[in-house]
Amino acid sequence: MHWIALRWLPPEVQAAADASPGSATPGVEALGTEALGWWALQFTPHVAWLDEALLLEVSACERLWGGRLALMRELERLNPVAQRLQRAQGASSLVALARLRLFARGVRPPVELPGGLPLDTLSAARPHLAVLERLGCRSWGDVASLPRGGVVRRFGGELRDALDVAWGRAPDQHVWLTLPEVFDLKFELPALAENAAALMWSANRLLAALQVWLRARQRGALAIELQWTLDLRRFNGVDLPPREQIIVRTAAPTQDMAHLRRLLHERLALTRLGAPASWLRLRSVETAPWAGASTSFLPEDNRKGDRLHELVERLGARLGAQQVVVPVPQADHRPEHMQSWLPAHQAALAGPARAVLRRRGKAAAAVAAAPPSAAAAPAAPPNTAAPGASPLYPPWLLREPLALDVREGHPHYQGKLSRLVGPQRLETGWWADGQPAVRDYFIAESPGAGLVWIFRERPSGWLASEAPRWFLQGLYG
Amino acid sequence: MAEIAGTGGLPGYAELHCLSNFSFQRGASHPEELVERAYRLGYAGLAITDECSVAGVVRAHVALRDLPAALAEDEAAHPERPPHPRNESFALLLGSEFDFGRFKLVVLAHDLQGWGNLCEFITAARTTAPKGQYRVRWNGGVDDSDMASLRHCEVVFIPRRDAGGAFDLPALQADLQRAAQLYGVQLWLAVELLHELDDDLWLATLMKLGAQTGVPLLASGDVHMHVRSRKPLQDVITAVREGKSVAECGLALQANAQRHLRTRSQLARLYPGQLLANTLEVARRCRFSLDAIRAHYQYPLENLGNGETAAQTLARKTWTGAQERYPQGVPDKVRRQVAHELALIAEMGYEMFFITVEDIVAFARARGILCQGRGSSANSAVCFCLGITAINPEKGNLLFERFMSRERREPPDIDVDFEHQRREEVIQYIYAKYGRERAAIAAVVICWRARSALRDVGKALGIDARLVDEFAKDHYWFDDGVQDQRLAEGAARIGVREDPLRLRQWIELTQRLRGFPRHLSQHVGGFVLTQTRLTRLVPV
Repeated sequence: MHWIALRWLPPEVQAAADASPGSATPGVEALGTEALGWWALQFTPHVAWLDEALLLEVSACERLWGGRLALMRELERLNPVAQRLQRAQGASSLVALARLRLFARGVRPPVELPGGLPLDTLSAARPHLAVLERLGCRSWGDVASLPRGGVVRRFGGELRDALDVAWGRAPDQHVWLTLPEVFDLKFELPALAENAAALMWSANRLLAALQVWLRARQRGALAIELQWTLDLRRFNGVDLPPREQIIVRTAAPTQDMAHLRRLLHERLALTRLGAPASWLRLRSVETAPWAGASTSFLPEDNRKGDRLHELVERLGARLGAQQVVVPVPQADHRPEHMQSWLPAHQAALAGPARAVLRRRGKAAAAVAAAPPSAAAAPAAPPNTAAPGASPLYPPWLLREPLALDVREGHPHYQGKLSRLVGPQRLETGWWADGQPAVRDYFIAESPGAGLVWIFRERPSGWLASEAPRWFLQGLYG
Repeated sequence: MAEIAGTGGLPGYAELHCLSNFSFQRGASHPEELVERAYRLGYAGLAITDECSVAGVVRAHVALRDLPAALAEDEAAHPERPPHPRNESFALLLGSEFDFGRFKLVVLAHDLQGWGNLCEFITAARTTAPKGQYRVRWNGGVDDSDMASLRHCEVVFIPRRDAGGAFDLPALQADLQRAAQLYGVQLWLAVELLHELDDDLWLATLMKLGAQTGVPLLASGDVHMHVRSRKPLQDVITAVREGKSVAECGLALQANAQRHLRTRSQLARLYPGQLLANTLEVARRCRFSLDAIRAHYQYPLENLGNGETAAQTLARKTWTGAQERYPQGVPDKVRRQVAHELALIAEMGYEMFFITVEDIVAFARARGILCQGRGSSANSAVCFCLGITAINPEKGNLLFERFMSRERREPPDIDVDFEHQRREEVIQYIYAKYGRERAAIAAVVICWRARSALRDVGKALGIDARLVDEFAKDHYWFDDGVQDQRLAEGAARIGVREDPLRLRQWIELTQRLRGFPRHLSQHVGGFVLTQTRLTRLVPV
């Protein structure tokens, strides 16, 4: 057995530690002891809190980390909080803890272990320190050499058991920490939160814990729920629900708390608390397996700025879900049907992840309670072609095909058009309302406009007598 | 060849890549329609090349046989119209299409030998795959004895084309070279120009490829329907295949209706003359007809007595049977009838059929399996004597001509009912006696009926499911010609609003789809028995 004891310096000791919530790494008090335990679970499944220290039993897994020394360095490197990490090792949990306590005091550990350890480093001996001192016992070894029966009668079984554990004569048993299946943390706010901004300050703490949980579970969050308990039953003559909550969703699973924080922030900015809140609770509603992104040396792979879907979600959170539309490629032979503009949250449903996302459709719609504000302008590239579209298609499509002048049987667009390639025939859309699309497409050259994409409506059946009509639908270059 | 090429000043052409609706959920025309249309367009030939199947060829064969008579009848009925031009040299080519992913091969049989190779190839491809699918492999030169077995066939190599997209030219060239090693002068490279934007580029690419590998090019059309107006039905069939509505199918639909049998003037504008002329050369080499199978077919010979001919065996068995049926002596009436029938059977050459059936019935009787001949065979005294039927010819007045006659020239049909719990025993007996290679259960083609067609077309058009259910349940009015009214009433009754145009499309397409083959199934007891390997005659 080999144990590592960990302790984070309390903030008052380490004055330099900047544990303000906005900083990149939260403080110990911000993360909470539970989350620190989850963090330690990434090193070994045997983790337990013992008094003020977090104890890790590593004999079975230290080789995985490249030995004890490497493991100790790794612990230091991955420290999740801003405070410094103090570490000590020992053959049993009590020895490791005692050494940690000595280290904190700046005392060198004795040569003889565990017999030489001072008595006040043993938690079980602390209530009896004065008596033991009068008996002349200064170290663990002194007590251990007293008659067993007398010690038990005089000080209770606890002290003797602790010494047995320290000497390895009794099993070192603990209740190991486990990672919960669902993230669900609540805590009482230090002061009643009067407005949403105050909630946000506290929510940061929960988000930090969520991040630790997600990393330990190797999952990304798709939806989280923030819930607060109202401190009043009635306010201004109106009955209040006991709790209020908001749900925040994101299109791609994320472990990035900055994104969730921004989304929460936008949503909270639009939320009015019914009454001051006393408790805050954060819950994971939906998560998905996390596929980590590989890093790249190539500069073009390391894009700066937000990802598109994050921007869209943030805009949606601020302006209302219906107000932000995105282009969605459609499989259709008719060029004008190859993309459609859908509200962002519906577009996610229409995309390739349809089956996965459909379940959430209803809930997403119900949550979209933000008041409609001024219509948002769609911000997306002009032409998002379906995956099956021919590479010969023009990059720019007209919103509506433009009817062209026909002089002496030739279509004109900024001059007489000369057909270069074609025809490409299209006969489809008979099931849709209106005219079926029966067209011959050509790439033509216009003296004024360069290469253009035009089509001729083929006379279908009853229109056979009419002269063919020409349209401009796309532009190259 | 000049005389074919010259007709009407248009180049001659034979379509070598054409799917009928026996390529389930792909082809949108009956083989009969394809044959008639190609005949009328003055094609020199038409190949029915269903995907890993030859199921459509029989109907095409019969259609072609009956076509001149039908034309003559039509002319007689409408003397005022100009007479239909005859196309005497029209040839029906038989083959099959195989998809290898990067390319497709169309294999056309030269003769009975080639047909046998093709049938065995299909059998092998089908038996190694789950029902309804097939498996063919292209190993690029490693162990392709399967592929090499396709002798006495023309092989058309059709590269896969993603219109406008890039293609892997080196891989294509390697495949083509390998195919050229396998098939030599029987290999052709098909150019299918279907009015895509990059047709010219495609043609130029394949010309270059042909020049590099020495494989001659020919024109073909990847025909899925006989006329352009079948496109909606083609789309519906695609939707059924994809299990979606037509609007959702997107790019799975064909972009245009060019995959039909195009007129020769259209083809002449599209293709260089040599490519069209090469199709005639292929048609000239493939002279196999289904009649050859008929001539070639032999019944299993196990049941013949030692050194006897079929007629002698049948006569012996019949008279022996007659003795047993009439222990007191065969009545004169029966004796005359039997003699008459035996003479006719011998004349038509159906002795072996009677002997084979008698053998199976004798087995069943010996095992105590109840069995009984029924239908028109009950009109035969020979069947009675052989123990197949139970109608005593002495008592009744037999209408033997209903069963078999010289004028009809149709093979006789003897239906025998076996006790159904023990039918499997009989089936196993047949397999044990003739072997798996020479006996097989016949397939039945399951066709779309009014109800299933209503459902499938309704789903493809996105008609409200309640309305589809309502009408599929109660479709007996379907042929009454009052569908529009009934539909309107029904829609109002269950409170569904549908566009009348869409409802009309629904009904029209349903009527077209009705009778289309949908899939193959097993006949409950029909057996095909042969003397030689069965798979040389039909795919199993």
